[in-house]
Amino acid sequence: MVGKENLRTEDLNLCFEKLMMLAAAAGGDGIDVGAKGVKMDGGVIAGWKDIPMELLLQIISLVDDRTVIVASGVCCGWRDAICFGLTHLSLSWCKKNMNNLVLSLAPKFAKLQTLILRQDKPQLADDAVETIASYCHDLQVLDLRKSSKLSDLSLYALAHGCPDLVKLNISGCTAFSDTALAYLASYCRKLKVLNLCSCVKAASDTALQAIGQYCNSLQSVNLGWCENVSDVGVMSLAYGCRDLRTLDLCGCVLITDDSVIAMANMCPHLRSLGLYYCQNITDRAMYSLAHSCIKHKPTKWGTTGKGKNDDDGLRTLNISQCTALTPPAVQAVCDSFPALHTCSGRHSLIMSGCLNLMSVHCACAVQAHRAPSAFPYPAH
Amino acid sequence: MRTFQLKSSDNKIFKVSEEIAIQSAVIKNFLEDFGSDSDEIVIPLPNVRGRILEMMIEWMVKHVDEELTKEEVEDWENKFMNDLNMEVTTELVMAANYLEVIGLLHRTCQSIADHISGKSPEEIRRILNITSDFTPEEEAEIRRQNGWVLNPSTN
Repeated sequence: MVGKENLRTEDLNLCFEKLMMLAAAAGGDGIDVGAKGVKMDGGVIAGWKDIPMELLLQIISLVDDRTVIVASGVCCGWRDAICFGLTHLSLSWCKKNMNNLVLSLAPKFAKLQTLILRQDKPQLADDAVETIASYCHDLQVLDLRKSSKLSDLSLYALAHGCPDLVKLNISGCTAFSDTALAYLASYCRKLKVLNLCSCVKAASDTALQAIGQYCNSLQSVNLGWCENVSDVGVMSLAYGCRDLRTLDLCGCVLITDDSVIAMANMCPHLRSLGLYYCQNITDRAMYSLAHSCIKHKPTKWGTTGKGKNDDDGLRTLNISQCTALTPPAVQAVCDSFPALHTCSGRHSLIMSGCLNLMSVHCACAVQAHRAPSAFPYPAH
Repeated sequence: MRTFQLKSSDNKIFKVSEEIAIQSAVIKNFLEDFGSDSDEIVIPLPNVRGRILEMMIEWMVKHVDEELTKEEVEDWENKFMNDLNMEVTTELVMAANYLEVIGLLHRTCQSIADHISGKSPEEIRRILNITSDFTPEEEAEIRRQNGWVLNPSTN
């Protein structure tokens, strides 16, 4: 018995020795593609130049974006590892040379999935976006906020180069045309989040019709201050993008009740609706929202066929400056959606500037008001 | 409680209990796959020298000590990290990565990240003892690029 046990232990040790050697060799499958491996010098790892790629990337994930760029210029091994492994980069801190940096970095960081290029002062030119589109084909998230120097050429390039885009922010990119935006929509059909705030020229009804036709996965659209948008455009979105959860129409002065009614009827997952300054909106729109809640409610025989989930229903509604609305209609919406609050702290039914709506309150406020009378004889 | 022997690259042997050893995910997986009741298993660690293995074991022992509160362990970790020079940190991060000692790996990675944050390539090379192997053309391009990145007046 003793002999057998010994044998087993020896086997095991041998086995472990092999395993560890294997692990050591595999650990070296690092940076240089087709690697030399971690160099062993009397058992001690040679050094930083040849550290395993995943270890370098773990460290790189802990430093800011400037340091990431600098680190890619330390040695060839680091450059290759970072170029191969970097998926997220923001250059929004760059106040002057963003365009040059993008031109120099995009060809190297070809595996990027997220690229944040928000600007205060417009810096980016079309050549930068064209470079991104010709190298970063895996891009899913692109933020170009306030790139007002960009022309349609950028959108055409993105349409061809980045078909996997899921999130695109072109708010404040005022030079884009609706033809180019419609073209992009026909190629980037995986879009879920689209921010078109202030894209007055691009966000036309024609563009929204294309978006509704092609981008059926859209969940969030910001059309803030896109003054040319009318019911035709919003209704195309409602009919085409049934999964819409968030829609901001603030300052879309042309839209009427028809837009809201279409949303209420067609988009069962709608959670957030911004109607700030949509002054054509009347009580009819409010009642359609209130009724949509009942209509989409799951019955005990299952859902009513619109795929409504438990956590659906409006959570945010902004009707500030919608001065035509009356208290009973708004109260009906508030009563239908328990997540809408007027009480301070959980202010999710926003109605600044609507002085005639002062009487509208969420259930919390009513309960707080009733609470004292529920205990008429409090213990002193 | 089983005990094992860990053998460093310079053939130093450390006896550790299973509870301590399995903080290394690599060792844990191995023992799960090839379990044995024997105390005589010697686990060779050809990538880790004795001094570093000793420090790792010190770390692992502290992290199974049930007498210590979370705060005491944290204080101890801070002191442990403060006492390290870059050379030892380097060896520890490699060893923690190789043996998958997750807590130690996180702390040492963070320490390296803190050391290189905001530095120029030249400084990082000096701190970590790396020689540049770029061509002169690549080096020039990097210098141009880093001008945009590092110089606050131009970026």
